[in-house]
Formats: sequence, structure tokens, C-alpha cells
Amino acid sequence: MGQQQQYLSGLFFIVFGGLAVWAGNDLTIGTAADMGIGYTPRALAIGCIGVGCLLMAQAYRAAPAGDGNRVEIAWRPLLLVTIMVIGFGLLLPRLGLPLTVAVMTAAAALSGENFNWTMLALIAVGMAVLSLLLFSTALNLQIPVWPF
Amino acid sequence: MDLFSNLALGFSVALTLKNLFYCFAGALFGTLIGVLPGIGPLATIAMLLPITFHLEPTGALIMLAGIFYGAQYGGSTTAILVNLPGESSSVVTALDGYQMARQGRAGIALATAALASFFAGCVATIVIAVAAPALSRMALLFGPPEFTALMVMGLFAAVVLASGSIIASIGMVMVGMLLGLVGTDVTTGEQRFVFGVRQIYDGIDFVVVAMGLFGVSEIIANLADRHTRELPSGKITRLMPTKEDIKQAAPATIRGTLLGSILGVLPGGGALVSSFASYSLEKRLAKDPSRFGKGAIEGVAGPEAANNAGAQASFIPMLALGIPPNAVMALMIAAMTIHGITPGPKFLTDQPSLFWGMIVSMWIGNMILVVLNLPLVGIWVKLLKIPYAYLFPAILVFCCVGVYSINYRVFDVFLMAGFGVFGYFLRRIGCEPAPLVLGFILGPMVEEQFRRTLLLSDGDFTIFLTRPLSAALIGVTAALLLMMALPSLRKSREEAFREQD
Repeated sequence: MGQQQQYLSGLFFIVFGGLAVWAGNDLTIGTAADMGIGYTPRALAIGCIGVGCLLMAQAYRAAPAGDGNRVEIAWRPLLLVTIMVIGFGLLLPRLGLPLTVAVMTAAAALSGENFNWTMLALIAVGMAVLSLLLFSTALNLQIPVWPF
Repeated sequence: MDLFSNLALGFSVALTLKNLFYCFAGALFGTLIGVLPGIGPLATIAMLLPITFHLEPTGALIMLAGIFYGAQYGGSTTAILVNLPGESSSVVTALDGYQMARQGRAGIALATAALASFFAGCVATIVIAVAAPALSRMALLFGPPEFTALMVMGLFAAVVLASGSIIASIGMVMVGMLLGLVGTDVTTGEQRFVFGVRQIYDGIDFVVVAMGLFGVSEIIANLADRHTRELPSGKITRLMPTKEDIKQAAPATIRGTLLGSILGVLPGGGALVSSFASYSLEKRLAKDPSRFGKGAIEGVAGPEAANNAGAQASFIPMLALGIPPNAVMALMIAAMTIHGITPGPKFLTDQPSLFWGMIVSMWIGNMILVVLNLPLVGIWVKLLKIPYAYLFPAILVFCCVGVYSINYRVFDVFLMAGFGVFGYFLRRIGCEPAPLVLGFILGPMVEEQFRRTLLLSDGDFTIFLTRPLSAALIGVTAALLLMMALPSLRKSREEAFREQD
């Protein structure tokens, strides 16, 4: 782990643990002999915070120079893939499976990967047909098929 | 003698036409998806889970096991052909396998990998058949304190044997356990961390978590990773190894198999550790260690045997104790639960035909893989040439349909998107999501046993140390942690995993 990763992961564990303590505040803690539902979550949350503090301390002691592991986020694929998945969820009940799949496949054009429009169009149609045959006909999953 | 009648029962189940077909289909689909770059066995199983939903339990389990070793196998093919390990346990195979391919010996490397895996698979199947019933008999002596201690030991061992920062991995286990506790508590019926969201009253679905953290976030990572893939060059001509090759590969295969069978049973063990251990063993035993990394056939045979034996041996604790030794087995437990089967000490005695059928089908599956893979190598090579722009939407469709079809609701699809983003951020900050998945499955189990233990002892924590079995397990855990605190051992652990980069 690079120093920046240690800082960020330390921060993540502290925040996550903190949230778990907060969210578990109204759960009964109980005693060891008679545990409430809040007992284990509280122990784990405190553990998370502890881990976070340790990582922070490590980051503080680590040499900041020559750090190759800079944390960079690839926003384009992150957003595209997330939108594609959420799009699937939104479109499926409205458009049905084949059309949703076709739209999703076509959206790959935005990925920045090399592609060819004719090929992509063919694959979009092919995937639509395949998904219909595989999931709906062969596996008999109860999935909306058409927009009407 | 018991063993033989059990195996006979297994054969009678596994050799029915229907089950042979499921075994074949699983191995084929598993290889197909496993060959695709950047998709490990975990994501493969998660993706293909929905196609098993509508089968009866035996068929479903046979197919899932087939998918698992198919995926494992597909990973080695890409490692050898394009130096792109489909999953972490074939990283080692890529070291010498790819060099062999560059020297025009790709076919021999693939055949060696296939035959070594097959041999290891045969041995491991027998090991499971012998060890699993013994272990489950032993488990009948276990009470809540022993189970708690065993699971805690398993979690720590998993962390130590995984690559990456130990502290961060311990953190990931705890995050996973917390996420696993979301929903209605079994003992009291009260709800935890649901924030009024009706859909998670029964807890977060494991498949959603696994698919988000491994399927979706791996796709994001692959798209972000823009280094160009090397395409396999040249035709694969010769498949059969020469006598000289066999003489070098055979002892390595046997050693790898033994190593894998032992390491696979240990908590946290499995394919990854076994293949690393076997590679370093072969390198140490070789007369001329400098050949390694330059196409030494032992460097393919040993680790391939070890990772296959390790992968199969990790079924032992999962089936016999109901405790998953690694993330893949955690997913297998989740899959079995969907079919209404709870693995554990009672599984063997209650459903012998299911258990033995599955074991025998593993052996058959390994044979199918050899038959399937060598002639079909050409097709796998073509698959590797498909541009990612066409591939990733298809994979995403599979993930989405898979998650949707668990409960037929779009909520799960949205939740998977969330876990995908979460998983991507975790990877970026250097936290591997595998320990989280393990914690997620074990969290509720640990809590239940822990609660019972302290109820039993009236809140006295020394019960873990006064019962001999649990004390021994706690002792092992403590020793593991102490070992990690020693600087010299920490260094050799770091070195062992360095070959990955």
C-alpha cells in the first residue's frame, strides 16, 4: 500500500466504523451473558475505527517520497458502468428485456474502447435475441419481455 | 469398504445422463467465462448462478462445481497464451507458461497444465471423500465455543495468507461482518441497520454483494486499465509433451498435488497459496533454479497441480463444517442456501446421495475439462481476440439479469450498482474485497455462536481457554498473529507475494 492509500483507507475505516456506531446507537447492547442485538455490531464498529487509526498511524510514519501508488479514479468507466447498470434497472420494467439489452450494449460506444459501429449494432441485436432466447425461453425466468 | 460403497453411490448419481450434462455444461460455461480476461472464478460463479436456479439441487450443485473448476482452468489458459492470468491463482502459471508459449511450446504448456490439473483433481477427489466425513464426525464434538474459535481462526488465517496489507484485510473482514448483520436478527427478530428500507429486512443478498464487488467493479477496473492486451501469436501445433518433458513434470505434479491437498484444507488456503507455495518449492528443489521464469516445465506442472488440488480441497471445510475457507467457498455456501441446502456436519449424513454425487462429479468434471480444453484451445484463443468494447456489455447484462432474477426486483440491480462503485473505490485505496465477502458470510454465524458461548458461560470470556479444543484453536490464532508481528516473517510473506506484480 502506498502512503496515500494508507491515509484514505484509514479514513474509510474510521468513517465506516463511526457510521456503524451512530446507526447502532438505538440498538440494545446488553451484557456479555445476555447480549442485545447491538453488542456485536458495536464491537465490530469499534474494531473498524481501531484499524483505521492504525492505518493512519502507518501512513504518518511512512516516507512520503517516491510514492508510486497514487490513488487515481477513472471517472469515465466508473460513471458509464454505473449508469449502464442503473439504466438496466430503470428500463427493464418499461422496455422489456431485449430492448433494454440492446440499449445497454449500444451504450458501450461511450466507453472509449476501440469499436466499429456496424459490429456494435450487430452485437446489440445479437445480444437482444440471445438474452431473450436464453433467459426467457430456455431458463424460463419471469422477466418482462416487451414494452406492452 | 465404506468408502467404496459411498463412491459407488456417488457414481450412480453422477453418471445419470442429466447430471453428466449439467457437469459438462458447467465445465464448458465456466471455462468460457473464465477465459475472458479479468474475470476470476468468483465473478464467474456469481454471474452463472442464475442459470442454476431452476435446476433441482443435485444438478445445480454439480453444475456449480463444474463452473468453478472450469473457471479455474480457463484462467490458466489465458495465463499461458497471453500472459494474462484470468485469476490470481494462475499468476504463477503465467511466469513460466507464457515463456514456454513464446518459445513455440504453447501447446505443450497447455497440455501439461491440463494433465497436471487432472492428476491433482483425481487425488483431491479421493482426499475429499476420505477427509470430509472424518472432519464432520469430529465436528460433532464441537460446541459453540469451538465453532467460534474455529471461525475466528479461519478469518485470521484467511487474512494472513491473502496478499495485501494485513491490517487493512482485518478491517475488510469487520466491514463485511457488519454488512452481513444488516437485516432481521434471527435470535430476537429485531431489525438492524435497515434504515426503513423494506427490501433489506431479510438482509442484503450475498449474490448482490459478490456480483457488485467482483463482477461490476472488475469491469470498471478493466476499462480503466488501458494497457494493450497482447494477442496470442502463432499457431498451436504440438500438444503432447516429450518423454523428457514428462520426466521433468511428473515429480513436480506429484509434489504440487500433495502441497495443494494440505494447504487447501486450511482456513484461508486454497488455490492461490498452494500455487505460490508449489512454485517456490520447485524453484528450491531444481538443480538449476535460473531456468525458472524462462519456460521451465516444472513451473507450470507444479503450481497447476497445486492450485487445482488446493481449490478442490477447500471444499472439505465448506462441506464438512459449513465454514467457508475462502471467498469462493463462501459463494458456494450462498448458492447452496438458495437451493435450501445447509452445508455442515449434518449434510453428509442427511443427504449422502447429494454429497457423494457431487464429489464424484468433480472427478468426472476434471476429465471433461481435459477432453474439452485441448481440442477447443483454438476457440478460446479466438475469444481472447474479441475487443473489450463488445465483451463488457455482455458481461454486464449477465450480471444484471442474474441479480434481478434472484428476487425479481430491480432494487437488487441498483444495490449491485452501489456495491460496484464501493468495490472500485476499495480497490483504489488498496483494500482487496475478498476478505469482506468472507466476513459477510461468517458474520452472522460468528455472532450466533459467540452469543451462545457467552450465554453458556454466563458472560465469562475464559470459557474459550478452559475448553481444550477451543483453547488449541485460539492458540493457533495467537501464534499466527505473533508470527506476523515478527519482522523477518513479515518480510518473507511480502516477498512471496511480490512475484505477483
